[in-house]
This record gives sequence, C-alpha cells and structure tokens, in this order.
Amino acid sequence: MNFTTSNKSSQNWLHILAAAGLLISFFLPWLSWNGNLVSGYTMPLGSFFSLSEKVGGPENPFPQFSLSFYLFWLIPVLAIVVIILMIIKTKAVIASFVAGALSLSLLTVYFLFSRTLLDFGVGTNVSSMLKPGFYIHALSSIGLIITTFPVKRMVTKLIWLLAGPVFAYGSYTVGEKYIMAETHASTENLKADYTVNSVDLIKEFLANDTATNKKYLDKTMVVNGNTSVVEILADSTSTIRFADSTGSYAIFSLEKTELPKVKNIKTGDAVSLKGVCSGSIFSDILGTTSISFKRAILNLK
Amino acid sequence: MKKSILFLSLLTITGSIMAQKVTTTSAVVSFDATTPKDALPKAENKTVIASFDKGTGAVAFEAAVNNFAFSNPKIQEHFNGANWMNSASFPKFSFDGNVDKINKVKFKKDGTYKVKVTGNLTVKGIAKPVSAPAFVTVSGGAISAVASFKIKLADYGIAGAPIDGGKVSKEPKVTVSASFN
Repeated sequence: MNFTTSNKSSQNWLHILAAAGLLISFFLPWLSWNGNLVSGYTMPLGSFFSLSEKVGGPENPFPQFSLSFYLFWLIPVLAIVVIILMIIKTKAVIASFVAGALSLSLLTVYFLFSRTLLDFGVGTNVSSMLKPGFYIHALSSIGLIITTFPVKRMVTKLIWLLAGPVFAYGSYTVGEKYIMAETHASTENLKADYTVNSVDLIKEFLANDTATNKKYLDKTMVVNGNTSVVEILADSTSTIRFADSTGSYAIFSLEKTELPKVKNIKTGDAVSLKGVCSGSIFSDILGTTSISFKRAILNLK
Repeated sequence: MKKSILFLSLLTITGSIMAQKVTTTSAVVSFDATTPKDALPKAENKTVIASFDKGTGAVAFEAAVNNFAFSNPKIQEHFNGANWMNSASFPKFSFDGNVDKINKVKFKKDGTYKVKVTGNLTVKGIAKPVSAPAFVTVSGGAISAVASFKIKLADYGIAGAPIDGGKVSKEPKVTVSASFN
C-alpha cells in the first residue's frame, strides 16, 4: 500500500518535473543559426522565418498557414495546466499527451528546417546548430508522455510519442516536394506590381539605383515604350530593348512562346512588355546602365 | 600645322581601333551545376553584355546575377542568396580576357575558327584566371562566338552542404555564346 502510494507520488513528481522542463525549455535557445538563437517560442511568436531570412535562409513558403503557428503557444499553456492539475491531484492525461506531441512535432520541424538551411549555405551540420534547450525540451516531452498516468498501456503512450514527429515529418516532406516541383507562375497570369513608361523607368534607375533596385527587384512590371533593338536569338527566344538618350536601357528576355508576335515588331514600334525585374547593373563595357527583365511577354491586355 | 596632322592621325587611329570593337547586349550565359542527384541547379541569362575586339582579341562579358532564370523558384532564391552568389552585394559577374593569336581568325573569310581564350572571371568580387577553348564563327560579316569552361565554386568562396552532398556540382559548367552586331 505504502509502496504503491510512494510509487504514485514519485510518478506525480516526475510528471510535474517533465511539465516544468517543458515549460522552461520552451523559452530556452533550441538552435543557433550562424549565432542567431532560435527558441521554441520563436515559431508562435512569428519570428521564425524572419530569422531564417536574416541568416540567408528561405522566407515562409506557405504564408497562408502562418496562423497555425499560434497553436504552439499551447505548449507552455498546457504545461502550466498539467502542473496545476498535478498539484491539485487531478488527472491531466489529454493535456499531457497534447503538450508532449505538439512539442515533439515542433522539435521535428526545427530539426528538418535546420537541415534545409544547410542547402542555403547556413551552417555545416544540424547537430552543431542544436543547443541544450533542444535536448531538454525533447527529454521533457518524452518524459511527459511516458509519465502520464493513470494510462498504463505503453502502446497508447507510444502512439502519442510518435504522432507529433510522424505528422511533422510527413507534412514537411510533402511541403518540400511541392516546393521543389514548383515552377514559376506564367507571367501572363501575374498581376503587375507596377506599370511604367520605359524612359521614366530608366530615369528613375539613373537617379538612385540603390533605392530603385530595392523598389523593383523581383517585381512584376509592365513597361511601355518604343523599342530600340529587337533581337531574335539562336534558340528561338528574343530580347527587346528600350533605350534612352544616354544609351542606358531596359532589356527584356522574352519567353519562347512570344516569338511569332516578336517577329512582327520593328525597331521604333510602341510596345507594352510585362516581365519580372532583375534590377540594374552598371556596364563597364558600355559605360551605361542596364536594367534587365526575365520571363517577359508582350502585354496585349 | 604639325599638331593638326598629329591630331588627325590620332583621331583616325582611334576611330579605326573603335571600329574593331563589336558588342552585344543579348549574349547568353548558361550555368549548369546539375548532378546525378539533382537536375534543378541550372539557369540561363540571355541579357548578357559582351564585347569583342577584332583587332586586339580582347573579349569581355558582364552578366546580371539576378537575371539568371531557373525553372524552380526556390533554387533561384538559393542561387541569389547571401550565402551563395549574394546578388544583393555582387549584382554582376564578369569576364575580362583575350583571344590568343587573334590573327588566326580571318574576319573577311567565312568559317569557324578554334581559338583559346584566357582571362579573369570575377564572381562575388573574386577574380580567378580562366582558360578555355572557344569557337569564333564568321558568316557574311557577322561574328558569333561560343566558349565553355568549368569554374570551381570553392575558388569564389562558395561552399556548403548541397555541394558536399553532391546536390550541386563542385565545378559547374559555364557556357557563353554571343552574336555580335
């Protein structure tokens, strides 16, 4: 009788210890990306992907799911709930299982994302990025699930142990495959961020290239003007150039599908082009500024 | 009077030298870092500025890093990222060199001439010597040229797990082709 009571009591304290570990380690650094510390709360706080971008990693590939990150605030909340329920000697089965599974899924995402960062040239290996907080949180999550009582069936606990990592790994792998199979959206279907006149565009770049590059880089633009050069390349693609009086120019690399239409365009014709701006460079060869656009099409709308 | 003659002579010589230089703003540079593990890291830039001096054999090109078009948006993002080409800080890469024995190329006679190009390729602000065979084609007075060479990414301070893991070639192939006006 005494043995059972003492056994139950120690399990109770172990469970509280695991929940406390979970709570504290949620706010400790889990990872270091080139010296930038990432904690458990970084994700629900919404700064996970901004930190990634800061170190040269990717931005959030699925911003439509950003709201779901708030779900991870449940980890510290449920840890506190578990501690309170344990102190007042009330069952905390669901809270413990959910907190543990959520934590393990978040740890899995952090691990996998750090592996992705290696592709971006951040760090040399994932294990060197891991901080003690990561291990403490992992042990606390496992401990929380294992010490959950009165559940005695190990199968149930095993399912909860695996549920988070399996779900996170599966979702991450599917997301990664989707991203790697992705191609650029057709320029025709892209909404133009800016519509400008070619002479004004060149003038703007010449006046302040730093600010203008920042403004237009990777933006979809419609540029209207009179062509200065139309060239058909050997691979049946083409380029169209708008120049100003200084010799500086905007050049569009057109999609192969545009060739039949481009063939009818002559130097001096007024045209409207839509493309993705690659910014400007100053050419030492020509002594002029060159603004280039990729994936361009004739804007016939 | 002597000064005027000297000035006119210089003007004529300069004019003649200038006439030897041909340029284009639609040269094509392709970058192929594919490996058996990954077919995605390859791109083309079709708005490359190039020049070729028929008299001296001087060749040069400049490519806007951001205008390399990859089929996959994520790979394009990797390529331009701070830890790879860092196009925000180094918006162009360039080549400056010479065609060896330029007199081998007969610009008044149609044909394809095999030559050797040597020079410096500057990527991320780091200049490294490059030497490659090239073909200069003369056809009805028009000149076109093509050259291929490999670059060692490590020479330009580009390293990382995808290279070590065989997802990106350690020595991508760069092909430059240009038709001069």
